[in-house]
Amino acid sequence: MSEYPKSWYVAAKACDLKIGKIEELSLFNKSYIIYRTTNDEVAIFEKYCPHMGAALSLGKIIDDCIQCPFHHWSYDREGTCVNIPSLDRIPSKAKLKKIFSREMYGLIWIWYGDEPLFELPAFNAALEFKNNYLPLRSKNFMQGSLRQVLENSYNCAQFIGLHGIKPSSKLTITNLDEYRDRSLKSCPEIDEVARYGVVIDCPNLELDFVSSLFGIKGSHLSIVVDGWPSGQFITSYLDGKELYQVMLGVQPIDRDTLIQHVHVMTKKCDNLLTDWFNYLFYALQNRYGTSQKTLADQTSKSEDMPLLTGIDLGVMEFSKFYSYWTREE
Amino acid sequence: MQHLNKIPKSWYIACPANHLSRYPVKFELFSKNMIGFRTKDHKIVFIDEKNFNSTIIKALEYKHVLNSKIRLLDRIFRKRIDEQTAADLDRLDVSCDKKYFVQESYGYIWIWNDDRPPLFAVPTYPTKNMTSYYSTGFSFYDVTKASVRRITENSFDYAHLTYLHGLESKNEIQVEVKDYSEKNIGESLVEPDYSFGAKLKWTEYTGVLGIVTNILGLNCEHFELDINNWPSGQVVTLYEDGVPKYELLLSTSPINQDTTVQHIKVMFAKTSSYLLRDLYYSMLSSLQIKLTSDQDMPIFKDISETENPIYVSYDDVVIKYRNYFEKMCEN
Repeated sequence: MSEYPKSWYVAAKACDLKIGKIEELSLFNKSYIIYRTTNDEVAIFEKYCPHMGAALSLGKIIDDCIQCPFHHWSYDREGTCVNIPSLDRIPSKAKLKKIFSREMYGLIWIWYGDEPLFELPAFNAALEFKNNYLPLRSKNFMQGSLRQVLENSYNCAQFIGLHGIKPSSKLTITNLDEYRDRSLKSCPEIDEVARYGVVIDCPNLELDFVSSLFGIKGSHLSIVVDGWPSGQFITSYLDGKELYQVMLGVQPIDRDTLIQHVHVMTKKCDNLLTDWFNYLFYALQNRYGTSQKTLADQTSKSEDMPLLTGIDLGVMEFSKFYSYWTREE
Repeated sequence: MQHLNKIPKSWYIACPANHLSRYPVKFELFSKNMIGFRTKDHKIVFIDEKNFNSTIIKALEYKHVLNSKIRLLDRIFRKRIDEQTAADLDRLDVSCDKKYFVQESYGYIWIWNDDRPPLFAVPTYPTKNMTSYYSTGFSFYDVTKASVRRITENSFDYAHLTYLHGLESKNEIQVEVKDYSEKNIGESLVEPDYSFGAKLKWTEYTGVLGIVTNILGLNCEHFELDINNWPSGQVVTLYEDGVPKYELLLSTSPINQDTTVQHIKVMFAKTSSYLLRDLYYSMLSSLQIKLTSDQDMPIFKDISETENPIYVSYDDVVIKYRNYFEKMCEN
């Protein structure tokens, strides 16, 4: 089994890349280089030249190609060697491994594996429907394995235990074969082959003091988690009304360290004051919720022999889904 | 990086000779912790730390050789050892049968990386190519992440002279791998079976380098680098129009899997009866050698051992060198 599922991961923040400037990245326990071409495209490669092993991060960008500092071999943005000084014939094997990338939602995404098996999921709330939402971005450094971090959103019990949600009746989790709300135009889209979704229902919700203070009213909370093998969209509804959507993207640094990129889109209503009130509330809630998760991830230990119960349906199913995407062909 | 999996049996530099005194020093070499000291007869002893008397270890405060600041302080406030510890150390020299073979030559402590007796003697330096030379040279070292092989093969990687160091000459660099079994047998610095060598020749510098060297009076018609290598180092003699100008000793200290120290020492030939002229030449050449080494350092400090490297025509000598190195590792 591969250490990471074949999927799309966050490699960097798009604004950190400048044209012609080489940046170094640590991802998947390996070193990479990344730069932006004059056409505003992103090129990303493993760090070392396949000729004599020099670090390409010490090289130069000339005509959108990266030039190795040692013997001046040049590679274009596809990784093909296009020039070896003083040689007429370039060996066919002289190329850098192509890494597929996309630039979306202010982030650079890369595919872990040979060729993408599905398209980068579409966070429509941040695309064509972005005017209906108020955006907020943050990132969190986390200690823990990728699986631990991802399965958190499917862990129904943690909503009660960790995040302090108080339902008067039993909290339920149901697998979603289809998107919950096709009528929701801004519904996120994930290729069916790479999607695992659940809905967590909290009927008869008792809202806490802070929620009441912010004027939040409602009794039935539904949380829809639409995941792909390395990230998730979370849509939250109160009494059937959409509150916000969250995109969680992951940047795995090494086996035990990762950065979680959080992109919250809070649904606007007609009242500007209420919008900003809600924005502040959900921003704080997401920030607080993520920090609780971070703490839990940092303190949780083994993931080999978890003790699972009925309420852990989401975790069990996600575990199978995750394993499927880490299998070797 | 896993480059230390393979290093040939050879003489390596443990440390510059003046770093070792009566007071024991802790070293990391060949991925092992070892302790070196001099006996009262100035004999040098190197023993693995695990074979060292634990009571002596506890009594001593070790200095790591790579930490130059500590070493400087150590020289100023050099500690004295008490008579009892000194006697213990001298007894250890006699009683311990697992000592490394060591030798002090050319201002360095050389160490053989095997229990069995050395297969060849410490190479001669300066070589007989330098009939007359100044006894004071200059030396420096750099800590790298490159392997012993990468550091020693660098001189044979002649293409990098052009692209990394900016060597531009009237004609392309000509390379000739030495065959020690025939006409060059006398040129090998160790037994021919353990030697590898090459001659690199080029003509007058051109371009920016040509302009600078013309102004400084360092350009000439024919340059030749005569490289004589043993498995862990080499002596490079520079000839300008057939006259030897200096000899550069390059050797290595393989510390651990991620660290190798490159040591360079240069001795200049007496080429004229005017001392000032030689002094001028040696100063500029020293600067040039240091700058050239500094250009290699960023590469050496972040390099990966490629599993299946892609070779091109100008890597011919590197390929031969790698085959030689592989063979030396099997000895």
